[in-house]
Amino acid sequence: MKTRLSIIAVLLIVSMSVWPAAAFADTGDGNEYYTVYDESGVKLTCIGGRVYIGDIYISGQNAVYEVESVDDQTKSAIARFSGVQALSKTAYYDKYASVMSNKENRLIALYSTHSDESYIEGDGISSDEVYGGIYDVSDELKEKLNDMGIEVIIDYTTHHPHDAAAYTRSRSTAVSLLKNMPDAIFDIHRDGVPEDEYTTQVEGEDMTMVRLLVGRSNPNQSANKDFAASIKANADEMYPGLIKDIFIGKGNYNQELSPRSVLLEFGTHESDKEDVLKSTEYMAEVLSKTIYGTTQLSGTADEGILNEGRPADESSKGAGSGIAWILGIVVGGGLLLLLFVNGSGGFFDKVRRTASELTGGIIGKKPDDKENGEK
Amino acid sequence: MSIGMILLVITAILTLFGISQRVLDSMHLSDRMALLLIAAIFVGGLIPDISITDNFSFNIGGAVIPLGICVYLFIKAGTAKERIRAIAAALITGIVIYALGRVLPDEPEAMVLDPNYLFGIVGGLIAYILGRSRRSAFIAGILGVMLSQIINAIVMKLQGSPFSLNLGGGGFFDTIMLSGIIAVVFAEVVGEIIEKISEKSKREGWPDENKA
Repeated sequence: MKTRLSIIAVLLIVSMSVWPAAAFADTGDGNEYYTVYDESGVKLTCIGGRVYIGDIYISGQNAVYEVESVDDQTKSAIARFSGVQALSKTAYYDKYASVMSNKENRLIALYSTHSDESYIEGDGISSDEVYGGIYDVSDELKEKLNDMGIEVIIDYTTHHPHDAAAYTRSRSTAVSLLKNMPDAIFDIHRDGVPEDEYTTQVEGEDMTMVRLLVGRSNPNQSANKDFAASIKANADEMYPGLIKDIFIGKGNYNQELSPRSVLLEFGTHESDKEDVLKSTEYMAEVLSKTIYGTTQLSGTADEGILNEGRPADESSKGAGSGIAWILGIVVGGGLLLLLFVNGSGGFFDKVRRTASELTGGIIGKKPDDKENGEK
Repeated sequence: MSIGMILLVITAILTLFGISQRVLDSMHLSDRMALLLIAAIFVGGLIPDISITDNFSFNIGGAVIPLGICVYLFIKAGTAKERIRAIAAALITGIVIYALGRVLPDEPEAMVLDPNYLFGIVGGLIAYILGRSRRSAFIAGILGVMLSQIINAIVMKLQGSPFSLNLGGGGFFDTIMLSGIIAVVFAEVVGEIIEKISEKSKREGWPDENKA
């Protein structure tokens, strides 16, 4: 027993030591962020937390970059430009408007995994482990959405502390909200990067931008990406400068629970909360337009989007490819394990017997009496 | 479709085709029992959470049934030693998961491995090292996550922060179930590979009575 406990201790120490030193838990208050540069050294953006090779960054101008190298010493990353993406061509509401704009009970769900997140200018603190100022952003967004005839449910469950397990705790909250069958679900956050990253002017008014975050380690990532792209495409058309960018990073943010799930970062810990709250009015219109094809009250729709019908459900296709991918790996892995354990003879014997049992002996090999007796 | 739902479907398919028979045998479960439990977890997950206090609730499918399976496996354990190992594995896993939650990166984009999967692997690894047992792996995966959530709630309470202890609120999608399944699969895969390698090198492995 002592030896085994020693093995566990050694494994833990080794695993801790190989973990990125820069990546230990914080409260997203600006101490831990990485700066991303393009290949020529031009600064692209700052990301709260560590970035990884393979992460995708879609800039405000829809330029797509993929992270190619990360330097933990300087907390910086180099991303390769891979082209400009025309987000408007895959606009989400084009596919759903005919269904969603006629929906009588419009419903959006909001929650905050990092319940402590607050704004120094407005709340006086960047992290409040009672109820963070982030809930005021949700309240304001709800009010604006309500004005457009959209019902909003906010789950005020806290998920303290702001650590690695926060998303496992907020998973119950997300599942609970999804039982109400909302049309979309948003995890409301604020970022932990310098304030100037998020300052903007929309229609001559000072406010903060909104970043969209999508997790690429989830079976719904394709659908979530389409949804985020569509939100940005609509915002770019309606209120240029409102959406900062889209970051597609590691993790799943519980977004695998719904194809219409995106994490929204409203400003940073250094932003003036009043500026953040101002952005919710514009964001509410963008979300309404994206999801329901209109910014008007329920039962009405903007002209020209009602008769498009509902083409192939791209979001389901995205989720479907994810399922196929995982099923392939798990079933393939299971078969390989069987092959490894039983050898090729035993493996094919087992497959023949299973086929026989499932088809009543028409296909495959019937189990012999001895084996039946053993069972 | 969520990872939880995908795992549920895969588990049901593997059970139907008899591929998971070895694992089920070691857990003293028949195919029929396994399928019934999967259905019960799924249906139980749809039932609204049961609230005990304002900040403590649990779900039938996500917490009560998995806990019941743990009790069943504990009773069915071959020896007293195995029971002690199962408890030890669950306690160590709970403490380790809580500690990992505190020290690992707090943003998913900064995590090497998502906690939903990592916690299950930790449970499977600890249970395997302690007793090479698939039964213990399941118990460690399920109880480890539950314990870590209880520890967190106690710490939050002591700090005076509002907390919410919702055990298994995600039903089959909850980290508790994901961890239990991943722990067993991890123990099975790693166990088989190690045992196969051991057999081939004709070295003596662990005593047979420990294998479960």
